[in-house]
Amino acid sequence: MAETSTSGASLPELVPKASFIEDVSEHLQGASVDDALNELRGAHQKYKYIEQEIVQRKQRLAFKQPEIEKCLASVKLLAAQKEEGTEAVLDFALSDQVFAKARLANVEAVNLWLGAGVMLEYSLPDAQQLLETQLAGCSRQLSIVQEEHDYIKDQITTTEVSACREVSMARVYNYGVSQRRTASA
Amino acid sequence: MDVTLADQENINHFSRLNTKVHEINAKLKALKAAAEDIEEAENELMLAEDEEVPYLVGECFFHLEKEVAEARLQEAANEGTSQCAALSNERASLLKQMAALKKTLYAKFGNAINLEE
Repeated sequence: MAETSTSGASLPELVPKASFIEDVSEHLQGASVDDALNELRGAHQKYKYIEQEIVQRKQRLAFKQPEIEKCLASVKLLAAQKEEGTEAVLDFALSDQVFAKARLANVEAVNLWLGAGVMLEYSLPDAQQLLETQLAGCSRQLSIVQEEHDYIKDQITTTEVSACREVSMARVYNYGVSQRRTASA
Repeated sequence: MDVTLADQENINHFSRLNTKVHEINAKLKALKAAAEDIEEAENELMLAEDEEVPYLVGECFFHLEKEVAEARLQEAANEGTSQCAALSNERASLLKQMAALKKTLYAKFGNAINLEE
């Protein structure tokens, strides 16, 4: 159930920051515009790829959260009904669209599916506690992923802006060249 | 006219805020749909004559007394309203920051920059 973030190291440690180009004309000196643009394009592609992965992780977590909330709601309701001493009467799904009626009296424990083919029995308070811990872990993960998304988004925007600046600088340069050509002709 | 590091940071910040606003919009839409479902359920319950109703919790329909079901719905509705309010507030503050950044960036770059959506 627990999902580890990129092997302990934070994303800025793993993924280099897109460097900001202070002076584009200086940056383009000695190198061809095409090479410079290709370099940016490559970096942009890598960042985009990482972003995709982050977005997927985010979606997985966002999907997991309501699942845990659902489990928690059931456990809490069972606990409340046990407290009141009422017998739980419910329709439970036998298969997707087939429901059967069940009466549950004196529910002491539930089985939690832990994943990887393992199911464990927990007393109601223990189950509730475990699920609450899971839920807290989930939202903690979500905020980490959010930070990672912010970071990668910054790098993407920086590369995009740099590419625009190089292109526009190249235009100005070409314009200068053609100006000189017409002048000398 | 060249882009300075401060400009780049402003642009990055704007882009980040924009993404967040989009995410919040999606969440608000989902909450609104849920609120409508709850309202519909409340109306149905008001008309229902049964003493017990099946109420979906997790994957099962628990047979709950009508009053209990009504209370649960009310609780869910309240929860939804407060989440909605919190998100709307966050959205308003993000939009305010975006407006400030827009002002700065448009003042410098004019038509050379496009900061919509």
